[in-house]
Formats: sequence, C-alpha cells, structure tokens
Amino acid sequence: MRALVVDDSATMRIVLSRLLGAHGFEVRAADGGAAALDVLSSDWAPELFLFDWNMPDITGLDLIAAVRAQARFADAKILMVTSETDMALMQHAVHAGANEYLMRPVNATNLAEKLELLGLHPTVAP
Amino acid sequence: MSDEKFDQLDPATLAQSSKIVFRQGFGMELEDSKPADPLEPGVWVSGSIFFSGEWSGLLRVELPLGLARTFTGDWLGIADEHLEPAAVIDAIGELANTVAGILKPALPGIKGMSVPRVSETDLSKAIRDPKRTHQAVLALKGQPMHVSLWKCPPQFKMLVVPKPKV
Repeated sequence: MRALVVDDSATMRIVLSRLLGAHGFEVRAADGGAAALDVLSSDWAPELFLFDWNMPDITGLDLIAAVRAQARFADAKILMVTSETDMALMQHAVHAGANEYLMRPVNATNLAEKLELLGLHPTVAP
Repeated sequence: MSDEKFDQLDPATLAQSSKIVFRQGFGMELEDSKPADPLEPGVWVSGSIFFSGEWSGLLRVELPLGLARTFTGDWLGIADEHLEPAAVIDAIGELANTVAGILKPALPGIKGMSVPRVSETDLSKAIRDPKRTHQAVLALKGQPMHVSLWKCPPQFKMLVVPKPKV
C-alpha cells in the first residue's frame, strides 16, 4: 500500500514515514502544498494520506478538497495529523472528507489504532 | 481569558502537559526540578508557539543546546555527528507545537495556534515578569528544561526571526 505524508516539518515527515514504513507502506513525503499537489497530479496513487493541519502555504482542509476532487481517490483514506484539540475543527475536517484524525504526540501505538479503524491492517509488526 | 484566570493557572499544568508529551510521544520521563540560581550562561534553544483568541500568549519550551541535540538525535534516530542544525531547529519547534496542543484545552478562550518559531537564547540574561509568566522547570536526562507561558498584550505580533546558529 502507498501513503503520502504532507507536513512542513521535516521531523514529522521522518517520524511518520518511519512508522508507516514499519507497517509495510511505501511512503512518499511532501513538505507543503506545492509538493503535495505535484504528487496528486502524478500517476502514483496513495491509498492513505496523512495531512498536517497547519502549514504555511496550504491548509489541511485545502488538501482534503484536492484529494476528494479526484474520483480515483474516492476510496482513499485521509488521516489528519494535528496538535489541535478543538473537536469542532476535527468535525469540520471529517465533514470535508477526512476519515480520521491522529492527535500528537504520534507514536506507534496510536498510529496502529487509527490504521485499524481505517481498515488498513498492518502487514508488518511495527 | 481574564488576567485573573491567567493568574490562577497552575505551573503544574505546564509540567503535566510536557510530561504527557514525553511519555506518550517519546517514551521518556520528565522529572520535576528547580531552576539553577543563578542560571549558568550558555546557549539554549527556545521553541515558541503563539496562542490567540480571547487573550494572547506565548508558550516557550527551552532547553540547553546540548540537550536539544541529544533529544533530536534520539527522536529521529540520527547519530549526533550526522545531526544538521536544521533538524534540531525543526524538532524543537515540533516539540513546542505538541506541548502547546496538549496544553490548549487548559487555556479557556484560546482559538488559534501559530506555526512554531525557534530561536537561540541565553536564559541567564532573560527577564521574566512573574505577573505575566508561568514557568515549570523540569529535567530530562538530568539536564534542565523550562516550559513557560507568557501573557502577551493584545497587539502582540509574532515576528519571523532569523534562523539561529545552532
């Protein structure tokens, strides 16, 4: 399975890519909106997207809209990765097309729980 | 949040938020500690998040440069000799961001959080007004880590600072 991580933080890209890789995902990472939109216009089609909420050049909501605008991603799962604890914001994201949200601090356990919820069963033990 | 509510905030809340982040995110335990008196001069790294809403304030997570490098290396799995300054800057910003997210529910009226800013500082020269600052002093791996919340005037704007020489 393929996963795209979009986060302006290199730290979070490294951490999330490593955790997803341990679950057997082929992972690509983008550092913001422009790089993410490049991937979305390519032939490489992720089954899972992990979006940061707060980035300088694009919002997580914009990325959700960009994914859901493409029919080929109709079954793809979107996981918002966020420090925000405002439930209204998270509900807004889910209403816009996100499937789940992952609260920081991210670790192997809470990521595995979310993958299970999304029906993306790990193929390799983390 | 009114001045009165800010005054009533318990520094233990800052400590607890930080402990949760380190325990859940990094499998590390923070210990309660006390500030050295006087603080030894030296380079510290400071990660800041600006809160906005019914009041405005600044969360700062500050740690000595050496500890910041050790923490970053442990988190990313990178040996110290291969650790770029940019990696330390980014990691400390994300650390502040994560602590801010855990702390936010304890701050009534806060709606927004900024992206992280990271700078270097010399805490021995810092001036802190106890009427406008809450601070928790913790220890990680036997070294100090300060977590503080500063009440800012409404017109306060967070400026983009030059990248520090870390």
